[in-house]
Amino acid sequence: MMALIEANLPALQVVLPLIAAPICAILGRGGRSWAFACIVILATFAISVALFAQTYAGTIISYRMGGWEIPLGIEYRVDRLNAFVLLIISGSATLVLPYARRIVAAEIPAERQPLFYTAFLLCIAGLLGITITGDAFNIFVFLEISSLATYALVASGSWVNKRALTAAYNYLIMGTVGATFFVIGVGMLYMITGTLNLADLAVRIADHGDSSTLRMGFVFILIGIGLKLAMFPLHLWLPNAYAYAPSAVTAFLAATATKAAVYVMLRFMFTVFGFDYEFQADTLRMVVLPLAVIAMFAASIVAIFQDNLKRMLAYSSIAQIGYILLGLTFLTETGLTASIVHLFNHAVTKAALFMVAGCFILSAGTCSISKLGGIGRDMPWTTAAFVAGGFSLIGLPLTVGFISKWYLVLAALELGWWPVALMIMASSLLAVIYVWRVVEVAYLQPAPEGTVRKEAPLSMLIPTWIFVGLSIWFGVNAMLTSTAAGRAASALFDSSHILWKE
Amino acid sequence: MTGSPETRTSASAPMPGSILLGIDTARGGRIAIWCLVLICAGLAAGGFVGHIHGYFEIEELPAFYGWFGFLIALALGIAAKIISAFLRRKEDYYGAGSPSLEEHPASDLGLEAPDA
Amino acid sequence: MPEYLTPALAYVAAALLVPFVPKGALRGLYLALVPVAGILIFWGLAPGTYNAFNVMGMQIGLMRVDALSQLFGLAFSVAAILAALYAWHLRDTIQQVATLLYAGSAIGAVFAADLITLFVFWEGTAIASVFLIWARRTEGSFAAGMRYLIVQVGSGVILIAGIVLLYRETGTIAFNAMELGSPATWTILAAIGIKCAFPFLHNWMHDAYPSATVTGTVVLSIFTTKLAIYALLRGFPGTELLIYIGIAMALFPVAFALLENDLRRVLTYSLNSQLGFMVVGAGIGTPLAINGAAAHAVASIFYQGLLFMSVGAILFRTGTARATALGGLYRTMPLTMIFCLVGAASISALPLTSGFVSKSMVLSAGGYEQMFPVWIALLVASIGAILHTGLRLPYLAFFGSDGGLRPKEAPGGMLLAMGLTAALCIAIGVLPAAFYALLPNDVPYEPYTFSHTIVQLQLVAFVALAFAIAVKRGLLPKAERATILDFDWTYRRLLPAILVGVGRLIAGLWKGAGRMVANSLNWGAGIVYHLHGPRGPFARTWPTGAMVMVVAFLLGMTLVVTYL
Repeated sequence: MMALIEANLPALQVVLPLIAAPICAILGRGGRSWAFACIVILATFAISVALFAQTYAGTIISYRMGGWEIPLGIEYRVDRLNAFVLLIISGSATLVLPYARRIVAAEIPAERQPLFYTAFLLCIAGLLGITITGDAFNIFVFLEISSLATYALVASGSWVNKRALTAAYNYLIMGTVGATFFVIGVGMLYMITGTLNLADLAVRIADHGDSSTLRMGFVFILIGIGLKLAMFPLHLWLPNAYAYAPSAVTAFLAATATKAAVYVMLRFMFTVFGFDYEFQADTLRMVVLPLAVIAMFAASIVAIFQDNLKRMLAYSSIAQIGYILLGLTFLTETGLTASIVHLFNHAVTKAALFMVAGCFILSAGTCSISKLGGIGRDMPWTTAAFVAGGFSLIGLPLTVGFISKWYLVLAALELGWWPVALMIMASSLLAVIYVWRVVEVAYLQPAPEGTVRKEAPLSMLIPTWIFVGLSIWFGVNAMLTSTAAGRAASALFDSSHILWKE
Repeated sequence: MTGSPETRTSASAPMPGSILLGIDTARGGRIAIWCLVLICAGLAAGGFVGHIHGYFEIEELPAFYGWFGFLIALALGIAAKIISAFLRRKEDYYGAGSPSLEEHPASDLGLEAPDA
Repeated sequence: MPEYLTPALAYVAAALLVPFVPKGALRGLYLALVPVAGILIFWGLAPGTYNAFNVMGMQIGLMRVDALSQLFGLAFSVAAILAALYAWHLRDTIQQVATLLYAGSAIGAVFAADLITLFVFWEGTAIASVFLIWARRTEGSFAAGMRYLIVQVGSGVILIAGIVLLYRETGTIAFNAMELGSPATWTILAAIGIKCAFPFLHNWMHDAYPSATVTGTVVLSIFTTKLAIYALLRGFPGTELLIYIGIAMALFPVAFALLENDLRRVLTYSLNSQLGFMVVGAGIGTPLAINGAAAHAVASIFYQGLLFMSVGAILFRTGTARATALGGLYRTMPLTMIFCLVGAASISALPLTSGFVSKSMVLSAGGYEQMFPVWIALLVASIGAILHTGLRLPYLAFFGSDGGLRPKEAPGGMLLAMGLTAALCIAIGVLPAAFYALLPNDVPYEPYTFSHTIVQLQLVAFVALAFAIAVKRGLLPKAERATILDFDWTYRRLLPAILVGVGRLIAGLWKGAGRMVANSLNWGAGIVYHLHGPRGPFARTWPTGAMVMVVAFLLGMTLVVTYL
């Protein structure tokens, strides 16, 4: 039995939550379905840990779905990079679900809760599938599964605020456009290579030679995935979706959804396209690099002017995605390490911050910054978590944010890109401003008249503080994350054919 | 605050403070100044007993440190007075939240009168 | 045996245990003994670097033992003991823990052999010490603490930026003497300069120190700035620029110290000025100058600490440190007065006190190098110190016009701490040879020559005479309840005023730009909707259309780039 499970771990990773989802729906009543989802997620997380441990040394697990031969059948392929991302996704889910219980009970009517958890499981299954599969079309399928589930999850925020419906609608349109672009791009690649397996694609693209179809395919995939990961200016769907989704969903999405998309971007850019031809690197540097830099500033500045805490954090996410993309466009190993380590670091930090926003909503009934006066005194633990997470967002030392910025700045300096390094630091200052705004209101301003606010329940505080703890633990002792990221980066880097590799 | 009714009567201070009682009266001040004048004169004279070694020629001038100190001290005092005309503002200039406006909280203090 | 430790670890461990020690005498004793344990760890170790290991290819060294680090380590430890005695009456666990962590960080930083370790402890001092300000528990002190924390943590962030640059440049993070010239070294100097209260970077000190608790101000005055002096002596000895910075730093606070009404603020300005002497010493950089700066730093830890203690005792008993409310305290606080006068004598560099044997070294170092302007400037600053702290401060507090307050003498713990500190000030002054033996460089120096002793006596006596006359004739500025504008005016008043203007401008532009974008989006969207029918029913969907427009635009642009 154990041997059977062990042999099929990659498949179980996705299939388990996928099968569990409909069961969850028929369990009825919130409590039961929630407990069931928790157990499933815990098992999923265990599988991720096992996969991570198996691949940490450098082994690549190749799993044939249904036993079909590789270029024909679907391959699940786990290496250091996606094992790391799998860990982020299932780990975040494991922490968000216990947190979700109370806030979901407050935000969603009881009879809808089983469906909510069903959608949640589907979303997780989709995200894990995107990450684990080694097949381009399969990525699209899972992308759609996770996206459809996400639209439903965002829309379920409408029990609190009707604007969630428009947000979900916008997200649906944009997500569909993105997925369509992606599938068009994949189709073009299929036209010229006749394969959908990623590893196979990589070899055949290198053999095939430059062509305009290839270039079209490249651009469609870049833009399609850029939409999903909220690359500036394709981010327009994100602020409202994050702001009006139920708080638990926002925390989960912020930690995982864009991260999975970034993974796909990394995989396509480095493994599949592999910079065989000069135009690919040129496009990255001429389009993505400036957009990333603009995102760092523009989104941060917008965040400064936001009153809704969740919207502010959402804009901050867009800026942080700018950092991740920036590391990618350096096209160096250090740059890639920075991007990958920031995947983890930002997931942890943002999840913690959005969870704090959820706690505020539960206790104070609002996350409008102007109404949070003096909340630091009423909810000391929650607010302290925000401060710690904010420090990480700014990139103060002894937090994970610092580790990311350190690698990013190091990568910029390695290339001698002084101005970029300076801009990274300057944009961190903007984070100081928007974090400080909240701290100032929370600690220095008097509470509005007649408010009664209790500290958030432990079931929410503990997951929040675990994320905060992680963001400090891995900020002090970055060995594990930076080694894992560094190894993943070097594997990615080696799988590409960057022409000017030193 | 523990303002006690007694003023400058002799027995109002314990040893060794009582030795100095009266030093802050006008007469005490005059005496102090004359004592200082005597001390200064003595020290200025003492400077001629041995040779003053210095790093610069100016130090070899008679009682250089004495008159230089005296003049600079007066100059600094007057300069500070002039500067104060430019830099002195109302106490609440930086707004009511300034810590220098607050009374020091009693929890951090041990206010006691001597005979308490 | 103890070589795998840094004293900082002992302090941190001890700090964690504080809450479990019963409050009262036992805890007081415990707090006073922790620094003794700290001394035992490093005292007697042969010079060298201990406890070194490798992290991510960088050589970390927790314990660099040499004469300079041992001198500062010892001075900090002894000062920590004295501060613990001074705070014997305290029942506030937060302050006790913060003090231990703060002292431990400062001592850990002194023994750091590499910049990363230095940085960690550098931030440690910042974070631990702010609780000494917050412990006053008022709105004002909370805000002041916040400002202090931002500046201090900012200094650390600048330091780490400098370290990154230095590492990029030289491939090493060892903390050794640096040559000013590259962006890296400038950045590191700036970080140290903030902590050292260089002119224009100094306001945090005058803002934060007077806002702390009675005991907190004493503790604060010991560590942060002297740590910065240590870092200068270690990292930038002989940097000419420091001479000029030091001179400015020694001179400008004189005027403020003469004007301020709050005696704790008087002392922060006087501390600022004394730091200038040390910076000059570091800048001259000859072995004698380095010795002088180090000696003066150590001496100033004690006499400045003693002065802060005596003013703290006054505050503790009367509830105020404002000169306008004080005066005539010699009657009921005579012992405090005597100790204060010992501190005043030391800062005036009266023979037989610590200031005499330390300050003269810095002046002599300038003299030996024939730097006349430096020498004369420091002489003027010395006169200023005699005037504002040696004379004006005790005069306003203990003599002067009677404020009518008759407080009780300071509590036993405070008296003991002040007595011991005063004894130390005199011991250093009486036995300079033993003190000089601790200094980093082996340079013979004899403070008690006939000519040096007599001229210093002349200086103090004549300044005293000038002070007496000035008081009588009203030539000194009156102590008044007021705010004295310092450089912080530029960022507390001028900058906000400018920012408000700029903010209005930006808000206007933002609005305009927003309108422009909205207009153009409307226009773009209009084309799409024209195909879909009348606008009204679809009004709610236009943002989605605009989004898709953006996507299409970007796709097109990217394609163009790809084909270029």
